[in-house]
Amino acid sequence: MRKFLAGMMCLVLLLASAACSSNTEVKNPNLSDVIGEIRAAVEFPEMAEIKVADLPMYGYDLAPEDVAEMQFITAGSGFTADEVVLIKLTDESKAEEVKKMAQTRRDGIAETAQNYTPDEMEKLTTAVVGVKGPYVYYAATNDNAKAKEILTNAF
Amino acid sequence: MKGTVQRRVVRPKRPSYAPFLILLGSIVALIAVLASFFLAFLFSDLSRPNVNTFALEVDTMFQKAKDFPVLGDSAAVAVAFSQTTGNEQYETEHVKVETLVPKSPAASDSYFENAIFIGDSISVGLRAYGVLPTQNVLAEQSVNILNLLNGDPVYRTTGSEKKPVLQAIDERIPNPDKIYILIGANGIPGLSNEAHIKYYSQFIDQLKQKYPDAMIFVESVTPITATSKYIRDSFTTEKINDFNDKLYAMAQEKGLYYLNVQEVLMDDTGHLIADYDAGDGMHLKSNGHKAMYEYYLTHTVGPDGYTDKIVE
Repeated sequence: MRKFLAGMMCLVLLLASAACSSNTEVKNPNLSDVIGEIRAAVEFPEMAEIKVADLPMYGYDLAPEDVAEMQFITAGSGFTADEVVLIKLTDESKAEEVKKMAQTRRDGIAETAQNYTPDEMEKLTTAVVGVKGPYVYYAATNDNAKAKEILTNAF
Repeated sequence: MKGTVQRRVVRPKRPSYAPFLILLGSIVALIAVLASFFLAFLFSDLSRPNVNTFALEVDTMFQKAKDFPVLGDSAAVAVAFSQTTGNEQYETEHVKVETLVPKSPAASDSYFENAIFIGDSISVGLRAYGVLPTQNVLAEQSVNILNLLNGDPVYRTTGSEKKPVLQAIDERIPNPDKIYILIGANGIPGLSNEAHIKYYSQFIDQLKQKYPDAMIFVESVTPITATSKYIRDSFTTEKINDFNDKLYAMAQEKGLYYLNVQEVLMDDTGHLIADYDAGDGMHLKSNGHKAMYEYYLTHTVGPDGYTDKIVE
């Protein structure tokens, strides 16, 4: 009986500690810090900061109320593929859909780049696209491996 | 067996601790769970971005953008012009603009409220860098005159789906009073200048038919550097200049306004100013786009077709 009770208590405590640890694993990174880290680690051309209201212009069919937080930089000159997008959605269930939007945008840029700026293809074919909880991230940079490392640690 | 005393040892019954231990264990577990939730909440709250701070940063960004001369209100623009011209006193002459739009005192940014700018990747920076409101700019990479003429879906408006240019104009600025067109760089390599201008002219006919009251400004194709990565036999400074000459002639013929925006981006050798080069010898950094915008502001025509030309 004692063994049974001890076992039960261990199980309960184990469950309690598991509940605790699973909660701390959910990261809520500050997106401006994340993008700042990428900008510090990777070389970029002059970048433009895009506003939430302009997301549809960049292939993301999202209303402002869909976005809890966002950091979006793109090469404003219009000829390089450099771009980093970090979006925290208000509704986590839309994350996969938004990831597809990022992939579609990348494919569209690649289609143009193939003919006009083939040098940019490397950035696009190795671009980082991912989802973690309510976060969707995309990075096409001069050093996608580094960008991926930072994004994986952040989310 | 008689006489034998049977002694039964009656052991006191041990009280059962099981319910007590279960209760105690449950309480401890409950406290542990509650404590873990509390700690998790506490730490996640600390690491979460402060929404108010973020909103404040956005507000500050907007304020900075508003303070920037090119983006600010009318007064700010006037001040900017005054500063860049060193409070230069100038004389003006009220003239009718035939084709080439001369330099005039800086207009306010409200001049562009009902204007639409149509372009390719050269114009992308006008909206991306916030030089002009997104609403007023239709610009995407690789657009050429045939895309516009044939009604290919090339421009995004309210959603990610691309639309033909005329539909895109309607969705952005219905009945624009001014239409600015900066197109040509993507067509010059593949088309003869004669054919290119013919298609351009046909597109103008479409615009004039649909927007008969709009003032149409065609813009010279912007310069490239002497070492641009796009230079080839079919894409040279000479061919660009020849295209611009033919565009000017077409503007004269069709009664359009010609904005020689090339001049503000060109150095003494006739090439793109190095400081404006984004890196490929053709596209522009934000300072190039701001220079273009200042050129637009200082080359305006009134609804009556007149302007106050600055007498040099």
